[in-house]
Parts: sequence; structure tokens; C-alpha cells
Amino acid sequence: MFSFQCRGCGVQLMLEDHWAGKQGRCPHCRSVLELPLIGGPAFAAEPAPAGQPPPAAEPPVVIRAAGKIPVSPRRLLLVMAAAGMIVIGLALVLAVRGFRPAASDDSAQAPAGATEKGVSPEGDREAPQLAEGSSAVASGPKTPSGQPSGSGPSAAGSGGPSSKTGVGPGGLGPAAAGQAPLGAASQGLTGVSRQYDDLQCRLIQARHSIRIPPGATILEVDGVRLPVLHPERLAESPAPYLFLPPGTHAVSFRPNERPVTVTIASNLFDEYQDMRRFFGVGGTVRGEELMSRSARVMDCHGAPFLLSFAGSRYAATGDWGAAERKFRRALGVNPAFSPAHLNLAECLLRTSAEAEAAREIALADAFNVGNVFGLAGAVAEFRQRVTASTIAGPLDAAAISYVTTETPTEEDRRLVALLEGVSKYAVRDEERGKILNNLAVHFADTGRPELALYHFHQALAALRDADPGARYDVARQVLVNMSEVCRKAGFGEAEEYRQMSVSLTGATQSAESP
Amino acid sequence: MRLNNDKYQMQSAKWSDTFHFALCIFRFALKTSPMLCALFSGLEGSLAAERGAATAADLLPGEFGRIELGRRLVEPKAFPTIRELREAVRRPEIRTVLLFKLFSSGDNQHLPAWSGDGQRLAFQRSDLAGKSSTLLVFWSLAQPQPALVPDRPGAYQYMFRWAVNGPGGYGFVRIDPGSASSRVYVAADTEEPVCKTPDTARRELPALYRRADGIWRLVYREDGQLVHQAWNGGGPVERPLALGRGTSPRWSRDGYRLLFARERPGGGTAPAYDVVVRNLQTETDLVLPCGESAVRSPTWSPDEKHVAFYVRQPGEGKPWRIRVCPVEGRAPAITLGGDVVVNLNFESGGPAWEPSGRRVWFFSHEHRRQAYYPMIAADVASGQLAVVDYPARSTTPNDLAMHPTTAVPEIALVAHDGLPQDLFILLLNHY
Repeated sequence: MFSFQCRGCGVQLMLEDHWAGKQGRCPHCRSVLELPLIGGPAFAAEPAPAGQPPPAAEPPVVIRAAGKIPVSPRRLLLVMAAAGMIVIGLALVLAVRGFRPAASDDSAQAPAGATEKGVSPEGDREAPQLAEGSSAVASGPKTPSGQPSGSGPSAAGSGGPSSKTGVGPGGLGPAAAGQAPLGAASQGLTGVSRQYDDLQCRLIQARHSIRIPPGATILEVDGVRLPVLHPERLAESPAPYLFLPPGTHAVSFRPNERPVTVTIASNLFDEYQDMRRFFGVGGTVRGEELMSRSARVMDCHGAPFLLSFAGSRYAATGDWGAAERKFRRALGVNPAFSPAHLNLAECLLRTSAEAEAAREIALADAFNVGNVFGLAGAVAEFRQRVTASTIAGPLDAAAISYVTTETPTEEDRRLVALLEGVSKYAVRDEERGKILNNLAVHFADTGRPELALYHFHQALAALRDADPGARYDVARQVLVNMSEVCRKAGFGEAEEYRQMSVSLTGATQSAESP
Repeated sequence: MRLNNDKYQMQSAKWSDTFHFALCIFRFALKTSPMLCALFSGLEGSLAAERGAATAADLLPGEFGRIELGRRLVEPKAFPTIRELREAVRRPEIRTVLLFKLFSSGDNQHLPAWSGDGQRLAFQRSDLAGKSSTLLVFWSLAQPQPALVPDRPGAYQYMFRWAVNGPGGYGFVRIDPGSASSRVYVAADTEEPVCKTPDTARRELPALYRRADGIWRLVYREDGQLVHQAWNGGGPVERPLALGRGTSPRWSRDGYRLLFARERPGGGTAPAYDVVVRNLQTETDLVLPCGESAVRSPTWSPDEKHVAFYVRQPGEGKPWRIRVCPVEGRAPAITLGGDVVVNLNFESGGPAWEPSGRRVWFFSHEHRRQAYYPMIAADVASGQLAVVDYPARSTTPNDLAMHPTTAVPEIALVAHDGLPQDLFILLLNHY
């Protein structure tokens, strides 16, 4: 045990040793705490380069305080009754099935039931090969040439088995039938590694970038101003990091202020290539590996890499709609992620949205600072595919939204403002998740699936911080809702979300086990 | 009487027997557990399903019912469903959607203040027993209880101000017990506040600004003078600089303009003020027209194209009004009526602008019904006043703060729901 004083409310917390170096929430004031290593430095997370804020660590988990928590007698009675029921139920289960040890990890990283066995050597055998010439869509640094064939089987509608597990009575309807599984595992996602999981991706992102602060009015690297207006809007995204090549850079965010000096020690290009190779992007994409990492973080990413790779995977199957949604989500996480801009441009060119595609190409170029992603050649080729007149002048970040192509009405905006506004005050995260789920249900009910999915993801993000005892039940219902929305809209992601909801069943059992 | 008593005893015996019988069945059920427990849980499940079915008609497919906000709802009593909310946002008139109590402690709460990003809420609490004042902060609005800003026992802490351009930074004033001087303290996020004015003087009304390059700038009032300080992690970057006699300084978002009330020369003990915008790069003052009125508490509009401040005609018992002056362009200044309820010491962040900058919101003494003061939304272009109803259970409201980003009115206010003054959050259906 070690003691730690909450900076939010000043309460002295007694914590088990395993909390050392982790992040959690104070049980009294719910402030996010970064807990020190025992006898070590103040923060356990990998140190960020000079001039950068430390990267966000593991998702916060509620810390159990060693002190007494006031409990009402009625609640105590209910808890005792529930505990009695659980003991009896467990005894019954053990008697019927025999004893099996429960999974030990009850954190938000656990729901996929992942193991530390190492990389699955086969990858996703069912994922089709990327068509020749579609490497640009696979977010690679190579220059694009030609068109992807789109002849691979689509993820949806190919007649695979479907499970009804996890579909609650309050769901949007019965589980989708006749959908093919995306990965090899249809019941849970075991046997995959944790390499390049969301935490590692966030660390990679932080090592090679500088965070855009909320007050930024310009982006200027080594005296060269990026052609992006209103960069403060970029700072509103979850991970507004501007990637930089190796070396020491002077970055200015406001005119007439001193530049911030930042040193990038290693080359992102090499690391990015390693990630691409690991996931098989540009070849046989390891869909199971990608999906298991998404499931572990309940599809709420703190870095854009995996979402962009997932988009490439859908593109490889010819599902350009799903690919576009993934690329938009990647840019929703970090709008300064150059490869996703280029990939989105490819999607837009396929729908003849040339003006939007030109804007994305220009953004890909702007954020490829010092050719940090090695995309200079690809950008040049993309520019030739659009007319020159459509790329002109600086780009206004305030005018760009990657949430959806659907247009909300004034009443929608009011409803969003009301429910997002009031959800902030929910003391328990699972209740916040429920409120945001209900907002998504409004859009699902009125036939706006993209807006619904956006708000469902917000609900999942809230649930990541919830108490494990309540988190998975609500999250599973949200994922079932998402799957159903996708099924009704004919989106390829339906099976992906269904599998995630199934994977949470194991996590629920793990969280409930003593 | 006796008959009644016997009847009561018989009934008691009957209930006692029934209870005993039920207890026996329950014990038997536990002993013969697995199958009966499964049956019992199944029965409970079906009952729950039945209860859910009663509300299912109100819910959309996939919608969760029975949401527990963890706050005391004043109106309505239960969290609204999507169908109810849809109905609310369709209504043309501005109406209450939700009012709940965020904090009460038996003491009086005052002066709620939103951080620039709207993610944090600070307020002041009068400790009635200890005759002191403490500052409390909801660092996250999901906190069940606010955190106390570190203080000394018996100290009087007040005049909380969030930093401009630095959402977690803040400044405040502390008067230590037995001391005649007041000091300005500054802190970044949840760090320990640091005193920026250690020597003896009377300081008040801090205004804090954080530059993107890590430099902090602070302006405060020191014995009638406005004083400027700047520092970063390495220490002071500029020597303290006197900006002239004035009060109520407010930074612009770019950090190059300062809005304040400048004291007119020869004012004596009851000075008069002009409202000015000082450009710190060109060192020029733009004087905004306010006539001979008494002025207090100038505030930037969200787009910084207007300034609003409280004005009152000279003379006893005149009502406070709000004057809105354009900073750019040639639009005329406008004085909004309404007999505004003002904070007695003008320590609030008001007048309260809505995020679009279209209207200013306040409580009014006009048309009040005893302790129920109407809420007014005043259009700055036309001067038109709209009366907004809110639940009458919260009375004698004061110190209103509009959320800076939410697209519907999200209002922090203090009001009475009983003897002490508590902190409430009011959400309306639309602006």
C-alpha cells in the first residue's frame, strides 16, 4: 500500500501497490490522477520530448479508496442480497461446469479478452489482397498509381453466421442475420497481441509531434507558416498533434509570441512503416488484430493510426463508404494526420466530390511537415487528378467537419446541445454513457445513421471511464444499437460492432468475478 | 374504541403471521436454493420486464430509461425521455427543460464563474459560522462535490477569475486573518496557488492571461492603480508596470487589449469612471460613451466587438441598467432597461452574454412576484426584452453566469430553495 494526496480535493488516498504509475480517478472528487511510481519519478508514463506535454496514459480507472465510503443501510441490504444471489449463482455454475479461473484484467483494456501470446502469425486470412495500385488508399508513403480493383468480397452480406448474443430487449431490433464475420474469431477476440495498441499508438503520436494548444491562431514551423486558418478549431479534437520530422524545431502558435522549441528524436516515417507492415496494410490486412485493439478501447481511439488502417482495410474490400467513415473518424481524432486526408481524398474522388477531395489533398500536403510521412510524391500525383482551380488559398479549419456528411436540423442542434450539456453533470460515467446513447438513438430513429454512430461513439467514450461493474452491460447495449443502425443503413461496419458487443460478454463476466 | 383496538390487534397478528410465513418460505427457498433461486430471479426478471414495459412505450428502440444524473432534480422530477425533449425543443417560446441543484452546504453560495472552455465551474461560499469565505471549484462537472481552493483557516478568499486563454488557470484574492492587506494568488489547474503580491497593500480584481508560449500576464487593482505583471516558468519577464488609475480589468482573447473602467481625474473619495479599451501594442485608449452615469463591471462580448457594463443615472434609488457599446464600427450604443439585479460589490463576471453575443441575460426587479424575479434576455441590436420563466421554486435569484459554449442556455445561478442560497443549473430549450 502507498498513500497519495488527491490534487483535486486534497483527500489522502491509500492505494494498493499495483496502482503505482497508473492513471485513475479520485473516488471523492473524480479528478483524474496520475499516480507516482513507488520510490521512482513522479510520473510513470513514458516521458514526452522536451516542450511537449506528456501523452495521455491508460484510460482512467476509478480508484478504490482504502477509507470508508458512506453507504446507506438500504443500499447495504441490497448489496448483501445481491452478493448472496451471486454466491448462490456461482455455486450453481461451478457445480454444473466445474471451476475455471476468471480473467484477471478488469480494466478498459480487457474486454477483448486479449492475451500476451504475441502476434498471430497468420493474420486475417479472410481479408482480401489489396488490389494493385491502391497503395495510396492503404495510407502508405508510396505514390498512388491506378485504381483499386474493388473486386474483393465485401464485408457485409456474404452470408456468414450471426449470433444473437448481447442483443437486449431495449435494442434497436434483432441482430443482423446473414453477415460475414470480419475476422477469424466470431466469439470473442482471443489470441492476438497488444503491439501497437491504442496506448502505444498514443505514445508514438506524442513522441513525434507537438500538441496544438487551444489558443493557437497560427501554425508556424521553423519560420514557415502552414496554410491553415483558425487552427484553434483543430485543438478541439481529442488528439490535436502536429507531426514533425526528426530534429529540433521552433513552433509558433500565435504571432508576436516566442516560438516553442521541440526536439523530435526519431523518425516517424520508419515507425509508421513498421506499423503498416505489422498490420499488413497494402497487402493482406490483419483485420482481427485491428479489431481486437479497437474492442479493447471500446472503439474510442486516442490516435488516428488504427482507424486509418481500418479504413484502408475496408477500401481493400471495395467498401468505400465504410472506408470513408473510418478515415473521417481518424481525422476526427487528429485532424492533422496527413495520411488520412489523402485517403479521404481518394474516397471523395470516387464519389466525384472533387472540390472536397482537393481540399483534403491540400490538407494532406499542409500537415506533411518536412515530408514527415513521406507523402510528398503521393500528394503530387493526387494533385494531378484534380483540376488546379479547385485548390486555392489557405484552408479554413473552422469550416471543416469530419463528423458526418448528414446535415443536422436546428432541432437536432438543440437536442445535441441539451443532452451533451446535461451529460457533463452525470456523477456516474455509465449514466453519462446512457444519456449520450439516447442522443444517438434520436438520430437512429430519424434515419441519420452517421450522426447516430458519432454519438454512439461519444457514449462509448464516456463508458470507458465507468465502473467495470456497470460499464460492459451498457457498452454492449450501445454496440448492439450501433450494429443495428449499421445493418439498417447497409453499412459494412455492422458485423464489426456486433463482434465487439459479443467480446464484451466475456469482459462482463470478468468484471463480475470476485 | 375498544373494538377498534381489538380489530387493530387482530390485524397486527394477521400481518405478523403473514410476514412470518413469508420469511419461512424465503428461508426454505434459500436452503433448496439453486433451482428455486433461479425461479425467484426469473420471477424478478419478469416483474422487472413488466415494469420496463410500462415505460417502454415512452422510449425509442435502444433508448435507456431511468437515468440517474446524481443531482437533485428540481424540475422535472425525472430525467426527460427523447420524445419529451423533442417536444421541448420544438416549442417556439423559451422554456425550462431541466433545473437541478448542483451544490448546497447550508451556507450561502455566490458568484458562479465558468472557465473559458465551459468545462469547469468555480464559485464562492460564505462560511456563516466562521465569518470567512472560501472558493470552490468543480474541476469536472461530473464531480459529486466541488474541490476546495487551498486556503488558510479563517482566511477570506474571493474575487475568483479564470485565466483567459488558459482554461485551468485562475487567480483570486485572499485576506489573511488579522491582516489588513489583500493579496493576489494565481494557480495553474490543480496546482497550489502562488502569491504574486507578497508585500502589504490592498489588491483586488485580478485579471489573468496565459500566452501560448508559457508567459502569464496579470493585471490587478492595487490601491486604486491598475498594475501589470508578467512571468513564465523561469521567473518574471517584465517589471511590474502601473497602467493608471482604474478598476475591473478584463483581457481580450489575443492578450493585446485590456478593457477596464478608468478613473476620471479629481474624483476624490467617490470617483467616476470611463469605460476604455486600451491597446497595449499602440498604448492608445478607446473611450466608450457612457455619459455622466456611474459605471461598473465592463465585460467583452464573446466576439469582442461589443462591451456591456452596468450604468446608473446619478441620484438616489435609480435602477441599474446595462449599456452596450460597440468597440468597432459606427453602430450606436444602446442602454437596456429592466432594473437589473446586480451583485452588491460588482464582483461578478456579469453582465452575462450568451455565446452568440446576440443577447445579454440578467434577473430583473421589474415585474417581480414577491421573491420570484423574472429572468430577462435583452437583445443588444434592438433593445427588446424577453421575459423567460423558470421554476418558481428557486427564489431571490442572483449572480447568473451563462455557459460560454453550449448552444442552448445553460445557466449557473444562485437562488434560495429554503434558507441558504444554493447553486443551481438551469437548461432551457433554445436561445
